[in-house]
Amino acid sequence: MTENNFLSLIIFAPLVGAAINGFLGKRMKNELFSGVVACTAVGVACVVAFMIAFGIGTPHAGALTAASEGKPVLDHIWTWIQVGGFRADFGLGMDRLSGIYVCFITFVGLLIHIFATGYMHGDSGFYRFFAYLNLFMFSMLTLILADNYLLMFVGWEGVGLCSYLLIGYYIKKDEARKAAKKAFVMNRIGDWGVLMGIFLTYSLTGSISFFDKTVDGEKVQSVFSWISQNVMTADPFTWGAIIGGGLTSIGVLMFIGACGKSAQIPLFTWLPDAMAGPTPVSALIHAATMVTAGVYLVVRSNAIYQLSPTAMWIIAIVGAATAIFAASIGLAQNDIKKVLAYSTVSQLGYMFLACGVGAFTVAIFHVMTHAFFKALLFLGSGSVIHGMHHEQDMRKMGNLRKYMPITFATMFTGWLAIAGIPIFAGFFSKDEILYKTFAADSYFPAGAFPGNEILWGIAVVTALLTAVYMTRMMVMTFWGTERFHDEEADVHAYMEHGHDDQDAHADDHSDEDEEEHHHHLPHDFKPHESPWVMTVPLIVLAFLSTVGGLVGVPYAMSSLVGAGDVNVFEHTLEPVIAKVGKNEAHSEHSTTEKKEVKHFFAETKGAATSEDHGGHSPEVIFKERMLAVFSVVIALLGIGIGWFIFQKDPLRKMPKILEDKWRIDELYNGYIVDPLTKVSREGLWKGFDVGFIDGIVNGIGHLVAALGGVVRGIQVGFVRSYAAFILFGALVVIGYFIYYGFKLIG
Amino acid sequence: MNTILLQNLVTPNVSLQAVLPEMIVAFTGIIVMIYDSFMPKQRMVTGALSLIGLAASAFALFSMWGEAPASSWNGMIANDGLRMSFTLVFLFVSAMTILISTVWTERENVPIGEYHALLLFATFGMMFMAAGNDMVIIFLGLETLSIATYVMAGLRKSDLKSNESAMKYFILGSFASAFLLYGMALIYGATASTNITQIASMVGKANFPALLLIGGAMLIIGFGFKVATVPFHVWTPDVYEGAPTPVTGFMAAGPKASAFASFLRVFVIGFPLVSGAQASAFLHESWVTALTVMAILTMTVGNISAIVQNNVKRMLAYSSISHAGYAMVGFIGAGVAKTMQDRDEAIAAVAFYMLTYAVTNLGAFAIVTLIAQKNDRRTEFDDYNGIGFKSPVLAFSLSLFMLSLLGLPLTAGFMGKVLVFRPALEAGSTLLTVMVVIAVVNTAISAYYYLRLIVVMFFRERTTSWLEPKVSGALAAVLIITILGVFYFGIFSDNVIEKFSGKPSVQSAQIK
Repeated sequence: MTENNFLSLIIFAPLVGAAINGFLGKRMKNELFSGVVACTAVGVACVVAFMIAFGIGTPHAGALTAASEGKPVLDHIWTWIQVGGFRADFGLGMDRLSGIYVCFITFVGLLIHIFATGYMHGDSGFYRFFAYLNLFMFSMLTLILADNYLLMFVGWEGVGLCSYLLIGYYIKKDEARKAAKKAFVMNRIGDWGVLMGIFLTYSLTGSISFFDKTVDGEKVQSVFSWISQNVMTADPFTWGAIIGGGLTSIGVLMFIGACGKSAQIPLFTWLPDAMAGPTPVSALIHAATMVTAGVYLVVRSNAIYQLSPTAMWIIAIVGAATAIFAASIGLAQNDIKKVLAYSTVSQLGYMFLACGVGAFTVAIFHVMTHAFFKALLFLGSGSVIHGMHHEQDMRKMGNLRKYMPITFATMFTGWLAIAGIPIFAGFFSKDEILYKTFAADSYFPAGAFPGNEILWGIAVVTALLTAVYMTRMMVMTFWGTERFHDEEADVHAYMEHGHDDQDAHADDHSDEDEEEHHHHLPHDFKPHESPWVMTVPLIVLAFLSTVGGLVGVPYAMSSLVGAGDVNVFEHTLEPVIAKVGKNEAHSEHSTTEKKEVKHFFAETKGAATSEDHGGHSPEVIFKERMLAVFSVVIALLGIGIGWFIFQKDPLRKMPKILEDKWRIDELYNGYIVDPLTKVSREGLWKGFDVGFIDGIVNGIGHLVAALGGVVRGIQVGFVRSYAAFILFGALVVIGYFIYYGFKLIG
Repeated sequence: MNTILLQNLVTPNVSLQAVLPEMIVAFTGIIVMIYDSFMPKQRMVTGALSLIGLAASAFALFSMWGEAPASSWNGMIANDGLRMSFTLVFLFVSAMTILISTVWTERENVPIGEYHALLLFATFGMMFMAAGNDMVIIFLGLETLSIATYVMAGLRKSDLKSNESAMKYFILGSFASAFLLYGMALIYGATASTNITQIASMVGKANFPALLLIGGAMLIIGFGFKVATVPFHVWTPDVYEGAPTPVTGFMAAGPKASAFASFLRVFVIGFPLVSGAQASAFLHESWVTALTVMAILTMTVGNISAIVQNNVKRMLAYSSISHAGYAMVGFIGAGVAKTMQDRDEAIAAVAFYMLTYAVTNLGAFAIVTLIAQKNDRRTEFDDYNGIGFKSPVLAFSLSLFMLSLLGLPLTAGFMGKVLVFRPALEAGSTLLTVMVVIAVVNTAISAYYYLRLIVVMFFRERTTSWLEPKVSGALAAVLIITILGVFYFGIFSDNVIEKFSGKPSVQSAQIK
């Protein structure tokens, strides 16, 4: 355990930025000021985060370096609550997991902040936007760096609030307001689960801390070390375990929260709607950072999950189902941001699938690579939307590579990354997930993971769909004919189209654009490339999307080129993943891997010597390689299908049911929202509120009036009445005591 | 002969140092009064003098904090946690009241020197009530306080309501004092002492055990009046409404806290449960039960009455009644504590509760005073219609205070409630658990009228014109201090509680 007081700088720098913009921004009315303040705040957080993570200029070993031996860097800011045995600190901790998170969040966040200064240029609420954005960074970093569940929940709620504020940023747009509300309500459902999970965790383990630590001379045991010491056997793999009140219950409750935050079935419909917010927000909150908080929660609690196979199984099923479901919807969307939104939901599904099959490190790996390429794609789409004067409909784009070369080039890498082309970041992480899913039963106690082949099949189909819809998006946007003048070319079509358009998209524009035009672009309209503040972040992210995956190349592949074990990422995260309940009923593979882990950390240098890999048996490596080849084929196949279909006919009509998002919203409205509204209106409001509550309130009023007022009757204002009342009370009290007096005497 | 005389002569162990904080306040009061008689109406000077006096007293208090618990003046003055923490509350309340009053005294041409002197004397009385380890001292303090507050309630001489308020307070207050004094006499009759420590050691072997019970009943009535518990609360709404707003704020925060200090000392410390003694068992059981019932009634009646009020001042008056009920929960918790340490912690919790209540309530009263304008014209709920976005600073601060009174987490009110409810819950008795449940239900009920004010401010249309009152420097200072206080006590309550409970009571120190 190492103390570092600079840790708090990471969270407080954005808070200060938010405060400055929030309080002074309106008065300054200066975009340069607001932008510089916001970017500096995140920049400071970013620099400090990297310094602490890698031990640059700090007295202790960096949290992510091998020299730290997996020990977290802690900062106890103050004791928040200490009542009886309950203890919650306002304390931060950076271990391997939060270290990785913080680094990519601050870095990607910084890039998106810079991008946003260009994207939001000219917006009347510029300062407000950056105040919210900084506040979001503060909340997100609090969530990640919190050293206990309760403080994490503060951040959890904070990001929910900021997400609400930013989705509803264009407050004049009805759609944005509704989307904000929807996001908030759905997240609340999830928050309930998290809270219950935390309560249950505390009542089971007597702790909510993530780390073993010593505060004010008092030893605090973490939840996870309590579990490893006291829980010897995993929960049974039964439905009953869910309501058993044990670890499985905690796991399921927390996963409900993760579903809300990370938009999994059934709580996913808010995320696509959330695209009503400004595009940098979609990139930052609804792609790279906040929505992965659910994955963080699950991985952070992996000690709990590893002992609750039922919860794991549910996570895997939900993750896989969400992945393929969202991918199928993404296939048929015409709004460029909606495609990316469903793609995000689908990718989040992958991450949960990885968690569910026990591949926690891979889940985090995918979180990180996804943050790179999805932020890139979103910012790219933002750049496109910016260049197209806030047009988001891909049917009106086409051939943009001619006008926006940099955006095109960068998004091209993002496309390859998400599709899973080797070398690009997405390939390694996605391929790992596929492989671990396929091999899931070998990671689980025997018989505990039924259906892994089916899950693998779903994941493969999803990979295919991903490649197809991404290709469709790229083709519709950057290739083909220029369609932004189509309306002018065909007046009739324009009339028809324009109408649809107004209905469907009248709200899609920021306030200052609303009066601009009716969505037909001027005759001499030419899309333009975005300014450098927008393209530079794109280039940086493109670079990361290309090479970012190399930190986690699995042995099976790195050994192909004779590089030995270079999977730095997995080894970095190893100390975070609890080694519980893995003692028996295990395949040879994992046992040997466990030995390897021990060995690895005995040699703190982290040098990868060949003997470390005695555990990688040739058959396993061969299987992994074969599967990798297979997934590359799948990716290429997907791109090929997409290319040949949509290159020919970019406006090809997609199945209606997919375009309508499987009518899930209608389903929810019809079966949940409407009945709920009805019950609330007819039952709760008219019946309970008007009838019962108002009845009570009015009843009290009537009672008071009718009796001359019990209350007012006493408060007549005459001193003599008051004295009499006091005397009466006095007699009662004295009488009561005299009763005891008599008991005493006689 | 000589030697016998000397033996009989009780040498008072005079220790001026032990009453230094009180002395400073008293002398400041005298200086202010004399200064005012030569150079009247020097608002700034007398105000500044008073504040300096209070600050010096606080300084003296802090310098005593580290000393070991002890009693001096032949056991008449205690130097323990109870006194320290409550005295801090009084000094704070006094200083805030002086700052809040600047607006009002200027507006209505109040004899300012007198007012400041009276306030200081009242503070002196309160301090003695907390410091007194002897019923005589407690009574002395109580009367000093009462007489000063009677006058303060009637300071607005031209206003009929203010006069009425003072008159009612005086008559009923005297009535209650009589009970109190009679109770003290009976206790003396039973135990042959007025010293709390002595009484505590005598309750198990009292000369006339029945007298103990009657005396206890009388004391409950007397103190019950001062802390305004049901059914002895009837004076509160009228007096609070009639008194000038800053004085109301003062009365709800200061004198109430001081009454709690003495009440705690006499009952929790003076009437403990002595094992094997039936009289003590009966006395303890009866006072705990009586107070529990009173606490339940107090919270409930206070809350339900507050719901139907249309006047903000009156609403706050009733809310102060219910808050006395919540504080009593901690009081009873202290009474049933199983160990000395638990007891001291519960006492510290009550002191902390009074501190949080004082901070919140004074902040609220500062804003109510500001909005009320001359002769308290604007104190109805309707007067607050729609001021939310017209005067955002005032409205948001007032909303914060309402939320703290309600007990929302992160505010002072929340931590206060948590801390006073806990000891009663830990006692494990059914009656006390029921009381805590009722207290929590009451908290929920109180949301109605606290939130109502927020709703009125932000969601109602204003029909009449709104002239934003000017926030003076003094008032701005009060708002800043109280807002920071609300958050500080809500978030860093541990620091304060540690300080408060760090010094045990004299008795528990002696037992150790």
